[in-house]
Amino acid sequence: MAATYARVDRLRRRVQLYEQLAASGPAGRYEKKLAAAKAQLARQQDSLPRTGLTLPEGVVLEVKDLCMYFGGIHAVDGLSFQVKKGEIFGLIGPNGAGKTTVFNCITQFYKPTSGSIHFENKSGQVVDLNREKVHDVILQGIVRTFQNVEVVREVTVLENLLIAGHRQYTSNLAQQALHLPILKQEERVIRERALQVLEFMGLTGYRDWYAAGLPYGVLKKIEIARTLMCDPQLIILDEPAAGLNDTETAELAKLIRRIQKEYRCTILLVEHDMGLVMDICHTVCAISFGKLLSIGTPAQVQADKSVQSAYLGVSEEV
Amino acid sequence: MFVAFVNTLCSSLLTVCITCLATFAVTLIFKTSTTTNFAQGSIAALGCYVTADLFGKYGIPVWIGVFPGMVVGILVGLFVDIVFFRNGKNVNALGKQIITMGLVSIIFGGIPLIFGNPETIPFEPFYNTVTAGTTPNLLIPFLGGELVLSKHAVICLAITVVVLAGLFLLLKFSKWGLAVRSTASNEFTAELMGINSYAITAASWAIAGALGVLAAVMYAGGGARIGPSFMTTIQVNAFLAGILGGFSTFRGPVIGAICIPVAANCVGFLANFRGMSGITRWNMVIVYALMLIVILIKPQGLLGRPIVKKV
Amino acid sequence: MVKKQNRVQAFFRHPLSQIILFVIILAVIQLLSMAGIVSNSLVFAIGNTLIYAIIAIGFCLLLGYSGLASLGTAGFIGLGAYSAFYVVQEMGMPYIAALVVTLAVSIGIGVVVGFISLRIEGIYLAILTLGLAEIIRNLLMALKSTIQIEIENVRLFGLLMDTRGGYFLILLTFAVLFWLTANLINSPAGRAMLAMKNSTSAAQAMGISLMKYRLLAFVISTVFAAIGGLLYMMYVRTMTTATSTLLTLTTSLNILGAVIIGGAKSLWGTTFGVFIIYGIQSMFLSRIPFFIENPAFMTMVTGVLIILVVMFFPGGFAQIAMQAGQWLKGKGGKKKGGAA
Repeated sequence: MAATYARVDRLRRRVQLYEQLAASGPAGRYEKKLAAAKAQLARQQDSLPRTGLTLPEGVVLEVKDLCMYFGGIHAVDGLSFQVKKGEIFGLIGPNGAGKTTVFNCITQFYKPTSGSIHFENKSGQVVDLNREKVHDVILQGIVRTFQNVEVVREVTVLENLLIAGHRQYTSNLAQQALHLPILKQEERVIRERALQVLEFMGLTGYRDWYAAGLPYGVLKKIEIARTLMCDPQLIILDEPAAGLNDTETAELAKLIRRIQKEYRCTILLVEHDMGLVMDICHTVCAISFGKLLSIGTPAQVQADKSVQSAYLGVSEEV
Repeated sequence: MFVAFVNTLCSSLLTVCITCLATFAVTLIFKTSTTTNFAQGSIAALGCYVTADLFGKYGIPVWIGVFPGMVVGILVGLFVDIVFFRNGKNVNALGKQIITMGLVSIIFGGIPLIFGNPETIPFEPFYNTVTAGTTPNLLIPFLGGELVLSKHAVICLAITVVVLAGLFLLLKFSKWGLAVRSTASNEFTAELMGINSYAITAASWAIAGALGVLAAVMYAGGGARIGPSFMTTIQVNAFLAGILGGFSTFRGPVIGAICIPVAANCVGFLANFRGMSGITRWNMVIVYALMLIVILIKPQGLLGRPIVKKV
Repeated sequence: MVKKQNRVQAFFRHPLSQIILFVIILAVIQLLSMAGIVSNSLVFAIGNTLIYAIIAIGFCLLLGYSGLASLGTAGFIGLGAYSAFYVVQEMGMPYIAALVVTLAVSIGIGVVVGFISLRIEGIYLAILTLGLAEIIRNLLMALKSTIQIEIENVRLFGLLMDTRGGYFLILLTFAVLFWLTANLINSPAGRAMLAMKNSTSAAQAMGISLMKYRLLAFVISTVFAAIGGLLYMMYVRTMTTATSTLLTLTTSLNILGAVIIGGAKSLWGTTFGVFIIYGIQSMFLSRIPFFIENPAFMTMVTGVLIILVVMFFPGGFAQIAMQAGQWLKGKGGKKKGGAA
């Protein structure tokens, strides 16, 4: 199933490429190819298997009865929540509550022990993420960042973004080994997009710097910039404010809002900085020991007694 | 048949001892310097040449000559660690490997320069049965048959057991052992805790050098022809034993080192059966292939613990 | 004036023009030797070094870009050498058939090792590939228990591939493979490999299939090594098996060393590293009377060079070249008035 999604995605990219080339290049040169690619895309899209899954109106991601056991340890234990389209959703909890594990399950770094994760992808279809391979999740429109910044240090900032655009290239290995014109055209288009993202993130000045040796705050920004390279439907941020100072955190809050507005995507984040979470999130979900404590607006969750006791411990004087 | 089989096991005794010593040396360096020492075999060969030279030119018996040989091994080991590794500009694990490889070239070139290029080098076991006028083998009655044990192998076994037992006790109970184990687990933290990790790695290189030479002298004493690369097979087996047993412990590699020669002899034993006589040619192919399968099933080694990376 | 200079610089920076230039120079050396100006043995040594350079380029992609260490190179070279021997000498089939056999076998082995690399990583993988090379070596030696394998001069498309024709074939192969590899490095595939080397999890999150690129890296390096073996048999025509240094760990280590000395990520650096390890000995030192009398010193010089480079230039020749370039630039800049 993943393979056909990959094929459709590839064709869609190719159509986009030819559209751009036709718009910018000499007239009549790419129209024929464009038409052929469009026809092929339509054919493939029709033959995509229907999953028959549905999600409630306005919901983009539904996690149901998710369990992730490591031997005897129940890192996530029967967790369910829904993320609405276009919202900023915060997942909070004390250390070791299983927040990152939830993320790893959604992005298929871990295969969940049981439970379902349904997601409405870019073409409006609801898919079962558990059936996707970890590197194919991005095709559905889900991208993530990492807790301990995982930037490719040996290449420049721009190249980091090109790596994030990896799945947008349609040329195959032979075309790459021979450096055929199709690759160069694609490269131009994707580089253009990368430059736009750099501009948006305010990283243009770092374009040709090697990522190794850049300050931590910049590395974090590069990670976020990477997620923007592939028209994300859902961005997953794992502790974006960890290691940032107060001004940087305030900047980050603004940035996340801007991303959500301009890229019209849903954002799911894990964060320990309660100020940030309460400030930007529309919905907050608190978990502890892999189980749901409370879900609702920031104010509701803040007022919840079980959340308070999970964070602060139960006071004996009351 | 059973007696023949036990005899087959006995015949692998010497190789087991040699491989165990070499493997322990490789493991020690792997754990403290996080590198595989490709010069292990060459350093051992160099030390063995010293012993052989003392024996051939000055008539000093091997059981005395082995000590100067081991001193050479220790000195070369210390030299590598102190001169090459410490003075290099942030040399990483891969760089260290290449340095040991460069050392191999130097020793390969150096041996003929120092010791000349004789066809065969005269050598003898620790206890020379020929000059002592006794038989080279011990014969032990066993289940109606006879077990044949070479005296050299028995002596080597005794030495190996004593040396390895001593080292394991040191690792387990001494302050040095604790320091080695903590350096192996995290060099930086160990340094912060006041452990002189320089001294620890240097000591490990010294011990590894000495063990290598000891193994080489045992090997040569058992009849192997001495040459600059005569320890290469042993060294390769030592590396393989390391991953077979799992580098995460000290016990694992030694157990791996016992398994490989024993397995090789067991496969060779199959040649006794009808229609299997051709198997000796495929001996090592089969053993390595078996080992490969074991490692694929248990990537962390027989005794190793799996390491889970957090994302 | 400035524009023209830029164009010249751009020309020399382009891998294709670099490689064409390289080929022309080496072809001219062969022509000079035909005219009797350059000694034949020097040209033979160059051809031999180029074979190792082909192998090292494949290894560069594996180690420098994919971050996978392998000590199995010698075994893979053996695959190519032996299939040349079997197909051409024993079966009397054309050399091109040997190429087909070599490609098929080495792709198969590369895929197998690639799958293994998904389960076992780092130094464990390196030692495991060492085990694999030992299997291949023992297998080849068990198949043909002679001290030496030899083949006749081969003909390819009617052309005699002796030390002259073979030299040109090697040069051509080197150029083509170098160019393909350079292209691959500068495309999404090369970047995907680098991503995989730096962080497997980031690579996966960015949609890079570890399986695809690990297999690719291993297949390429195995195929290049096997082609090296194939060319070796064609060019040198004989190989001692029992004590062969070509099939032992030493060769694998030398190739690894060449790549590290070259700077791990630079193809020209790697080529230069091969020159240091193999070329200097056979091309220059073997001509100096002192070294002819004491051949042992040649190995020692190589060893010392390797250690010095690794100790003081962890970035290899790529680093040395870059620092030298900066130094020159700084000097030039000062002359013009200290700008930049």
